[in-house]
Formats: sequence, structure tokens, C-alpha cells
Amino acid sequence: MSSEPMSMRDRLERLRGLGIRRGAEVFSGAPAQTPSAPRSVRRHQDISDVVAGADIETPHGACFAAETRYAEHGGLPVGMPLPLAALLPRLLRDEALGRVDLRRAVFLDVETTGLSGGTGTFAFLVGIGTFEGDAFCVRQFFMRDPGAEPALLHALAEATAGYEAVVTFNGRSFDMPLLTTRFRLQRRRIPLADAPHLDLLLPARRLWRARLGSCALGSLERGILGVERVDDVPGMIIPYLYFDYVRTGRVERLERVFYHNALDIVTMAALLARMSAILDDPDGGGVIHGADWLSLGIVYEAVGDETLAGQAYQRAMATALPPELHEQAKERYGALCKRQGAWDEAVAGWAAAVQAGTTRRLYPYVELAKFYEHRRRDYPAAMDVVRQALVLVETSDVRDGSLSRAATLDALRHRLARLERKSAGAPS
Amino acid sequence: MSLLEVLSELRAAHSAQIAAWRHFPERPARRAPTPETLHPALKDGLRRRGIPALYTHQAEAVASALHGEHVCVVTPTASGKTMCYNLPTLQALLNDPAARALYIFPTKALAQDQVTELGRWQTTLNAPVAAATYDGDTPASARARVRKSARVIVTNPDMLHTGILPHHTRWAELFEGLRVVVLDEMHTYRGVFGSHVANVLRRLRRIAAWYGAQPQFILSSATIANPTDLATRLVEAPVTVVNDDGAPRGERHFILVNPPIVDYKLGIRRSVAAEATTLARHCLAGDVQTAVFAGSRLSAEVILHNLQNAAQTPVRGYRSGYLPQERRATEAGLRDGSVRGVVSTNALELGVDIGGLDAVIIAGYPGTIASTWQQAGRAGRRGSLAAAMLVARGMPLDQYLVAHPEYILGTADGAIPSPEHALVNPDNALILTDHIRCAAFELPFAVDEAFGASVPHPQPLSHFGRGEEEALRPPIPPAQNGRGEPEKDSSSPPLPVWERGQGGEGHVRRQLTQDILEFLASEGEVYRSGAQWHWLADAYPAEGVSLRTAGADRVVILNDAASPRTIGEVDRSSAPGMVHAGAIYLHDGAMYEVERLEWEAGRAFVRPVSVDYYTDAMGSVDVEIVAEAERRVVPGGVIAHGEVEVTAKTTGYRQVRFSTGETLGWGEVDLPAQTMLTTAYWLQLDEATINQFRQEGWWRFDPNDYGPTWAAQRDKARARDGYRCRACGAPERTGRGHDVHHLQPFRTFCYARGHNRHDLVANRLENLVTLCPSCHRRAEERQVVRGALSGLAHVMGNLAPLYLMCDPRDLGVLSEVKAVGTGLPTLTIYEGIPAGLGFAAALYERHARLMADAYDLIAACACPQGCPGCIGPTTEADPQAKAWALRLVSALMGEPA
Repeated sequence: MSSEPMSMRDRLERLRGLGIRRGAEVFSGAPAQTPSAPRSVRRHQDISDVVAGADIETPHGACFAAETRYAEHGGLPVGMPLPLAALLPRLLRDEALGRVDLRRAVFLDVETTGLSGGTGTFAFLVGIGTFEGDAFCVRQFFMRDPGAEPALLHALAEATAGYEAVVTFNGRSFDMPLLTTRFRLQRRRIPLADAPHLDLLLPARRLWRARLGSCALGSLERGILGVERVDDVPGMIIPYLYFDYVRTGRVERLERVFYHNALDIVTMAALLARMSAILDDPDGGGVIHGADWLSLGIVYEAVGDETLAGQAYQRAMATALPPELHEQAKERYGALCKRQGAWDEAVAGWAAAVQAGTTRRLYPYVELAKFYEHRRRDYPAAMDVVRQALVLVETSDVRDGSLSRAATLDALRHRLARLERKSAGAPS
Repeated sequence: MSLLEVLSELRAAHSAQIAAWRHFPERPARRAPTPETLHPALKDGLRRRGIPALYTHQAEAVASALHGEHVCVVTPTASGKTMCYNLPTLQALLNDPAARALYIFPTKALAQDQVTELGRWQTTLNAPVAAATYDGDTPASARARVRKSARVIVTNPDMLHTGILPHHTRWAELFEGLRVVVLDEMHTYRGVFGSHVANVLRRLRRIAAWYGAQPQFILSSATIANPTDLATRLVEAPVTVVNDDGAPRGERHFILVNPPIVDYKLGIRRSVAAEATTLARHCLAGDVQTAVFAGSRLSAEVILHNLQNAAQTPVRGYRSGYLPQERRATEAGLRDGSVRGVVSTNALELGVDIGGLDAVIIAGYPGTIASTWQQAGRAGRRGSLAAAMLVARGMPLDQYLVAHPEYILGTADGAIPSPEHALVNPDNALILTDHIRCAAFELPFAVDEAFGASVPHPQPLSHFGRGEEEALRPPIPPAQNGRGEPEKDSSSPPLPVWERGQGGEGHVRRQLTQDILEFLASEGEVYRSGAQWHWLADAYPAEGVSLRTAGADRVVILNDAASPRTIGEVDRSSAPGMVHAGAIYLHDGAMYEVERLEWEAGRAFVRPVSVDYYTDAMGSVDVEIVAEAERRVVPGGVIAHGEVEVTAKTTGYRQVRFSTGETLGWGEVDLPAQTMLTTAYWLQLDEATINQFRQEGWWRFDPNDYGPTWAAQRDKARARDGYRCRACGAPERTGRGHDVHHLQPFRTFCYARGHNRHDLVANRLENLVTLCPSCHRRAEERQVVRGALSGLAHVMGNLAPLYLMCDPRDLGVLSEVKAVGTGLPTLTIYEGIPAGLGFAAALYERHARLMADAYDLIAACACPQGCPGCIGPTTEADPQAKAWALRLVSALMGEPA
């Protein structure tokens, strides 16, 4: 084929002619992109017109930075850190966290051009929160365009210098690996690489999943802190707001992205305060909901403190919990008693559940049947329980764990048949 | 009974079917001293592993590699290629604790064997040279450990493309220390796949360069005609080819078998499955350990079934659908000799260790000569006799190869010069654009950066019997010193791979790269800031780029079970022809029938079937020349190649029996027309030649005047036939009546209006038959002029894959008696892939050879009037079609009448 250089126009026509169709998906909320000559659009506004902040000069150029100070969040004071709960390092199996002084920790959250990972996704806004004086101070570093990354990373490295720990929400799998890649692409080492890293996602799940189901930061913020954001942007569209800004210069909606990022960081600080309160001082005002006792029981179990766990479950059952959580507390308590050999206690719980006939779960039947069969060798009693369980499964959608209806029935019938054999062979 | 006895019995009993028989005597090993530059620990290791000396090709390859050259080893199966790249790699690892290597294999089975072999070396050397596979099967929990501790990463092109390169920062140790890249089975990197892989390697080198590494490439390949060219295109730097095979060979017989013709008039031969079964039964009866390779899963099942019924010895099946345990058991049984017979698809062809068998029977030409030899190479152990038998199908290429055994068996002097050219076009606009997207995601592009290098020479096609293009091999400056470490201040690098200079080729490449980036910017994927283009989109481009197809717009193929599972995908442009409802889709040796094609959604639903036919889509094709790249005058006319726009509308399909090529049935398809920009090679007959043919009295193409009674007779014929096609039974569709066809061509009645009433005889109802448009077109195609032209087109389309190593479906063939625009008879071969891969230009180069081979194929065919094995299926043959096709080709070869 001819090696004459084609004109670019020809080449583009040719690529289109070949049916190459590309283009970032346009989400419904954003103005449609104008593909033609985006760079010719004159910027009427700068980020500083919508976000209070100023440029920081770095050897790699300027980086826009904004600062906001918070004394409280959702009615909780956030200006002063509580000492980190002693249980947290044990729960997370990370001794280094035990030495963390939150005054020397950086709370970090990034806003990125996507979630897919890989070297083509970058953080255009990085926010860090630190305790300063009597306030929690959030500083945000922003890239006016993708070429400003070296300046941003430089500013970030400077701002985090001298700190000793990092606190994130899901930062172990997202924020830190992403920043590690970005720093590496600038042939730099990420600051705080080997510093203790407290990722709040795991303890948040332990403490609040029972109650809230979802442990997304937004759900925690609403459910635990009672904060309702004003005119927030959904995280999903944030990349597109940035693309739109880069290509057209429209800055208005970025103000909400800064707001979103800053609130995420303050929320982390407030959540950590609540966690510490619950873990360190449950009776002194830490526990504000019966479900917290259930969660605490789970935490105590996880760190191997079964006595405290049993007490926590009992206290949970004593409060007016929603039926699901009440069942869960009972199940866990029963299992704990069984493990500790406290059969009377365990059996009493299971029998009560079976007798009441209100349970929507199969485990008390199964546990009770096992107890009668293997411990008491009281086969008729065991068969009686199994028959009740069969009725329950046949007349409802109750299943054994993840088993199907048929498999559940099979397992129960198998047990029954065995009991019948044993019962026939046993002296009456 | 010994193999020799079985063979002599075969020779006596089946002499009529034996098209060629070549005996390759035993050949001793040729050895050479271990290269001086080899690390003492490796010399010692060789001794301790009981290898006193290397084969000549191993010594040469190792010495060249240690000298810092990129090396490509081109030798047959089981010649010890692994040693050629393991020794230089191990040396690099021993010399530098930070050094790393990357091994790229086309399949996972091959990768696993390599890790085992490197493990043996690790034990022998007692040095930290750990190897590990990194592919889709590597558990997530093991991945971090592989990245950290393995010094040789063994992977495949797809994993490199989607899993490693886009995450290169996690692989910093690998890229910083990358000294050697091994690319095994290089000949499999051709066509669309090869063009993608060439770009994946461009991305690999770009990333390695960013980490400061310039790896050395060591490649290995089965025998092809253009190893230097292909290696150079993949490496984009000069490559030293080593092909002087010094490995020993046992004594071997290679027999080409052509099943007997069972229907002489239609040219139908006994089926390959039946013939292969007979041969296998002979072998097994003599207790000769035998493998049968079948072209499809179905064919494998048929042969297996036949053999299990007949043979006393147990015979196993082996293909991708079998459970891993079954396969491992069969492999072990073959190795220890307890399994005496196996019937396999090509699943056994690559890599899997089954030891050496006594005999291999290849049921149908596997598509390439390289595959043929890889399959044949499964037979043979040192010091014992082995045999390979290739059974030909009735198809033109198979028939051509048995008529010209030198293509497979080599010439009398013992050389086996392959005609097969593995072609790649890394600069195919679609493929290149996709990889520039991936590369932009991986690292920002500089505004003066060029992606990849242009290999300056066109892909030349050497003539059969000649060696590799010597001109392509430029002098090799030592890029690295003897210890396998990069030379720090090499003043003149071999080929400017990352050319940034002004003017010349570098300028063109930079322009090309920058234009595509500009295009991607206009499409909202990259963004220019200062002197760099940044990826700016919420997408992971490698995910959407499949290395097996060209173009982003695809149709996915879903197995319509209870839960749909993707089993493959095709380009949208090929979808109407390949996955229309009713089509038989072959995938991984398995057959599926397309139940429905959801055109808008881009989904085809298939179900597994077991039938003995494939489908051949039919429709109208219109080719418009967009830009002519080259043209030249040849005997009989003009040939040219260049860019064309192909508009194709699939209207129907026929079902074709695998073994014989007969048509079993027809179906209709209703899908929108597709247009595609691609490249084509075309041949235009000139006026002088046409006049010559007219004078010879056979070239007539004037619209017929069927006489005054025609309209009435035509309607009577349709009514008689119940308004249904007599060939396929299709009823007429509203608004379009079927055609009525003369059984004996009308013109042969010599009707002349006003002079005679021969039309009355010609139009007798007995001479008329109702045909639907599809069937009619086929019937008409067999008439004189069309017959000669389309017959030649059929032959050319079937021969081309022999030189191009492509699938026949990668090419489209069009013959026009009067082409739009010129009005001249024109024959066009166009590429099925948008923007083309260079097949068209290659055929243009090879025009004279193609004509000569086409002549040979038609002339050598034993059929009287044309058959599926030469000019195409003829059920209502024009008795002269074959003769005229031959006349046409001879004119195109410059021979007078």
C-alpha cells in the first residue's frame, strides 16, 4: 500500500469509515460532550471561582488546594480525636495500629476518573483530613487538567510529610493501591507507604452491618451519624463531571465534588469516633442502639473474648430489637453456649424458639435434634423435632442456610430415617 | 506384526489410493560444542543432566542469543527448541540477580510444561531461577507471590494484554529487570491474532523502555516460508534465524492417501472418515500404536465410533470437551503404551506430552502445512520406525496437495521448502487504533511519539523452492554484550524501534500515531495536555479488545442452554455470513447450530449439534474500488490491489456435506446489507483477450431473446411446479415469482427471431424447471462464461490459503462478467477483515504463481467436467466448463490458444 502520508482529515474519515465508534458513555445528568474541537472552548471560569482555595507552587507547576475546617459533624464534635479503641488493633490483627496517635494520622479519600483500576485511572482530587488545634482540617488538592498530576502528587507528599499513619474507608483495596500506581508513574514512592493503615471498612462492617445491611460510607453516614447531605453528587457520575470540566471548562458542578470528598473525610473521622466510643466504653454512652450490643458480641467473639460476647448477646436480646436481629442474637448466643459446653443454656434457647413456633429459621430445630440424638440419645424427642422441622419447611419458604428446598427436605428426611433406625434398635 | 509389515500390506492392498509415498531414512544427530560464552554453571548443568553436547541448531541459537541478537529458531517438532531459549534465559538470570524473563505461549498446556522444565533446571543449578505461570487459572491468592518471587513469568498473549500490561506498575520488578522475552510457536501469531500480538509486543516494549529495559527476543517457530519476515514484524528489529536442524530423526514413512472416487460424474470421493478408519484398523490390527487426527469434533466422534466397533484394542477419544482427568489418563496411557489408539482433534497437536507413537493418520488436510507436520511429528521415537498418513478430502486444496506432494513432502533433494507465509499487518487501522487506546491507558503518549516501527520491506512472497528472502536480513550489530546485559552506550542501535527523528519513515509513523490520538481525542477517550496525551475515560480498553477479532463491533455467540454462556464472538461484518439463523458454527472442534441471531443486540444463540454438514452463506456482493494502490499489466489483462468497499447482503445459505462437498439443502436469511472498507486484489480481462475468446467461439454473453411464447411457457412451468423451487423446495414469496430455468441451455438451440422457431423446442415444458433466485444463480453460474470465470475464482479462493496460512473464510471471491464501471470481466478476491491484513497485496505479488497453480489443479483433476475438487460443484455440468476454465487460465498465463 502507498506510503504517502495521508492527510489527517482523510485518516479520520477512514477510521470512521471502518466503523470505529468510540466515546465515553454519557450519563444522563451531564451535558452531552461536544466532540468537535473541545480545546477551542474558552474557559470562562477557574476552579477558584467556585471553590475557595489558592494555588500551591511546586517544582512541577501549580496545584489548586482548598481548605475547610470542621468542629462538628452530625452533632458530634470532630475537632478532637478520641484515643483509638484498644480493641481495634486486635480486631484487625494489626499491632502497629496500637501505636497510632490520631493527631499524627492522615484521613485520606480520593476522587478518580473511574473504578476500573489499572494505570489509566487517576485521582484528580485528593482530600486529606488532619486534627489541627481544635478543628478537623480537610485539605483538598485538585488537578486543573491531567497534566497537573506531578504537581498534585508533589503537594500531597509535602502535605503528608511528618504524619505517621493513614486512615481510609476501603483504602486498602482502592485508594492506596491507586495512589501507589500514580506515584510510581511519577517515579516517586508513595508517602506513608509503610505507615500503619487503618481501613475503617472492615470494623464498620463488623459493627454496623447487622443493623444497616449496607456499609457504604453514605449509608453509615445516614444511619450512624444521622447526617443528610445537601445536593450531593452520586459517586458514580463524578468521573463524568470531571471529564466534562476538562473538555469544556465548565466548573460549576465541581463544587459539589469538593463537597462530596470533604464530607466523606469528615464522616470517616466521626465514624471512627463512634467506633471508639462503642468499643471502649459501651456503657458510658457508646452504645446508642440495641443492635450495637449484637455487633459488639460479634466483635468480642472475633477477638476471642467469649465471656464479654455472651454478655453482649444477652444484653442485645434484652432490648427491643427488630425480629431478624433478635433471631440473630439468639442464634449466635446459642452457638456460643454450645461451643462453651453450656448445654442447658443453649438448649433452653433453641427449645424456646421451637416451642414458640415463631422462628423463621431452621437452625434451632436442627441444633435441638442433634442435641437429642447425639447428647441425650433421646431419639423420640429428636424425631419429634425433626418432624416439626419438616412441617415448617413444607409449609413455608424456610430453608437450611444456603440449601435448596429439596436439599433441605432431603437432609431432614435422612436424619429422620436414621433416627427411626436407631430408635428401632434401641432398648425402649 | 511390525509397522513395516503393516506398511507393506497397505502398499499392496491400497496402491490405487496412494498418491505419494516418501521414505525419510534415519538421520543421526549433528552435534556441536557448547558455546564458549555459556556460563560455567550451565555447562556443568548440561553435563549433570546427561547432555554431553548440543545439537548444531541449539549451539548456534544459544551462541547468537548470548551474543545479544534477537533469535528465531525454525525447526520441526521435538527438535529441542526449548533448550535454545532456556540456556540464554538462565544465563541472564544467573548473571544478574535482578534479571527477569517473560515466556509467552499460545496455550496453557504448553506453559505448564515449561514451568516443569525450568523447575528441573532450578534443581540442577540450585539457583534462584523460579518460574511460575500467570494466566487466567492462577488463583488470586497466588498472584502477588508470582509477581514478587518468580523470575520467569510464563503467560499467554491474552493475559499479557488484559492482565499484565494495563497493571504494569504492579509488575515493576518484572519490567525493570526484563532481559529476555520468549515467544514460542511464532507461526501461530499470524492473521488477525498475529496482528494483535504484534501490537501487544509494541506495548510491551514501550512499557519495558519506560522502566529502562530493552529485552532480547528469542522466538521459535514451525517451518514457514517467511520466518525472518514474521519475526522481524513481531520484534521490529533484525532477527537472526536459525534453521539448520541438527536433531536426530528416526526412520519415517509419509504417505499421502486419496480416497477412491465413488461417483465419477459428480467427482465425489469416499469420505475421509471412512478411509481413515480403514487405515487405522490396519494399524491397530498389527498392534501399531496409532493416533488419528480429525478435522472436526464430529469427524473425530465418527471415526472413534467406527474404530471402537471394529478394533479389538481399546481406542480412546481426546478433545477439548473431555474431562481433564480423562485426558490426563489418555496421555499417560499413550506414554506407557497401554493405550494403543487415540482419535483426537487438533487438541493433541500442540505441546501435550504423549511420547512418540508409531503411526499418525491425519484425516483431512488440517489447513496448514505447519499443522500437518506438527501432527505427523507425533509419530516417531529414536531408533524406531514411524509412519504418517494424510488422507485427502474432496476439496480443491486437499486435492491440489495430493497432486503436488512436494508441498508437504519436499522436493527430491530432501528439502521441505514451505510455501506458507504467515502474514501480519500490525498497522491495520482497526487493530492499531485499538492498541493505541490500550497503550494510552498504560502510559501517556508524548505528542512526538511514534507507536511501533515500520518494517520497511513489503511482505515478500518467496517463490516455491527458494529460500527465505535474504535481502531482509540486514547486518546485525551487537546490541548487547556476551553476558546478555544491555550495552550501555551502543552508539548505533539496530533498528530505530522508537523513532522520534525528523523525516523519513519515523515521520510517517509519528504522524500516523498522532492522527489516531487526535481521532481518539475527538471521540472523547484521550485528552491532550501540554506535551502529552492522557487517557481520560472511565473505561479499561483492554477488556473490550479481543485478540481474536478485528474491530470493536462484535456479535457474541451464546450457548443457548438454561444459562447462556459466551462461547465466542465474531466481527459484526462477518456475522451475517457466519452466524445467521441456521448456520453451523464450529468452535474449538465442536459444532453448534445458530438458533437465532439478534442483530441489533449483537447476540447469536446457538445450541450444540452433531451433523455432517457445514453451511455456506450465499448472497450478493458488490465491490467498489476506493483507491488503487498498484496495478500492472499481465498476460490477458491487468491486475491491481488496493482499497475497496464491499457491500454484502446475505440472502441464504446452503448446507454442504463435509466429506464430499455436496449440497444437502438450502435456507433463506433476511439481514441488512453490510458495508466494509477492506483491501482486495483483482484481475480484469482486457478487450483483446475477450475478442480472442469470442473468435475461439466460446465467449458469448448476450442477453437471450427467449421468443414470443416465453412468458406463457414460464407461467405454465411455475404452475406445474406448484410455485416452488424444484431444487430446494422453497415456495415463492409475495411480490417475487421464482425464475424458470432451461435445463439444456437456451442458446444451444440456436434460435434466431424471424429465421426459425427453435424457441418452441427450447421452451418445451420438459426443458423448463422452476428455481428460486438462489438456486437459479447457482445453476446459471455453471453456464459458459460464468462457468469459466467463477470456476477459476473457486480455484483461486481455495488455493490462496496455501500461501497465506489463512482460513478460506478470511477471503471473499467475486466473479463478474461485466464489472460495474469498466464493463470488463473481473475477478476479485477481497479480505474478510475490515482494512485487511495484507492478503490482497500478497496475492497480487503472487499472481503468476497463483495462475500456474490454478492451471495445475484444474488440469490434474481426474473429473471429466468439473467437480467439487476443482472448478466447483457441478450438478448440471456444462460439458465444456472445465475446458473453458483451463483455456481462460492458460490465456492468463500468456499461452496462445
